[in-house]
Amino acid sequence: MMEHSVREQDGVTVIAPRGPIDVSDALTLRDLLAGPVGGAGNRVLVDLSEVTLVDSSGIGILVTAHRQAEASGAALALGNPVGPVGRVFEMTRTNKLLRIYPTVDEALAALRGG
Amino acid sequence: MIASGSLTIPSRTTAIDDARRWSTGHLSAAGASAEAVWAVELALTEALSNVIRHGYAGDETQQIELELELHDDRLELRITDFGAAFDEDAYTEPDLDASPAGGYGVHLIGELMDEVQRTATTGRGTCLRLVKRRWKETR
Repeated sequence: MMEHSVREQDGVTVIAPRGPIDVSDALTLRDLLAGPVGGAGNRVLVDLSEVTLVDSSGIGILVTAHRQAEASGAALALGNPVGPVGRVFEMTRTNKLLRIYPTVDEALAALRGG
Repeated sequence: MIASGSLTIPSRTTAIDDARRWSTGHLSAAGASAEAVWAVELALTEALSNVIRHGYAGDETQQIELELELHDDRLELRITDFGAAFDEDAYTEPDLDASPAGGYGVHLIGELMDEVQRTATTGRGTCLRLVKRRWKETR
């Protein structure tokens, strides 16, 4: 079961899910992201440090949020996919669409830099 | 055979977590690699999600049967449901270059497993058989 925390850090909304992101939790993630990625100029980071699994539902939510951010003039980045979590983005080739950074600090720096 | 186990879960998405813990418990106890544990967890998640959302169309009162066999040369996971059969003819691979917002589940199962076989038998439901070789931790 996915848990999560949300914090503001240096002008960036940081959403940090914990545990697996699967079909039972995907709508929670969608709702967490919907507001932040819908505002022009908003900067949003999904901290994947404590995420243990992302399934196709989670991938779909992140792809949709990325496109919503682009449409509204917000910016969305993902940081620190640990171990096999990063491989799912490669296997679905969504790593070519999503802004994924090896660490949270790099993702924050990229968002602050525009 | 090294080990085997079975589990029946309700057709609810909240039961997927229980199924993952069950498979991981068996695999970890038998010395599976972290890669194999993760691959089975994700393939199982995708398969159960498909059964619950499509096979049973969200009906949470149904059941799904899971069987796991661990052999020296392979692991075999069978997932049986009694809902609508998967329509092989209607399935198309997602266009990965277009980054669609869904439809990755069957693709991921195929990437994670060495064999994927689906058998529908009248009165006995649909059995999805997943096989992964080289599942043990090598030292």
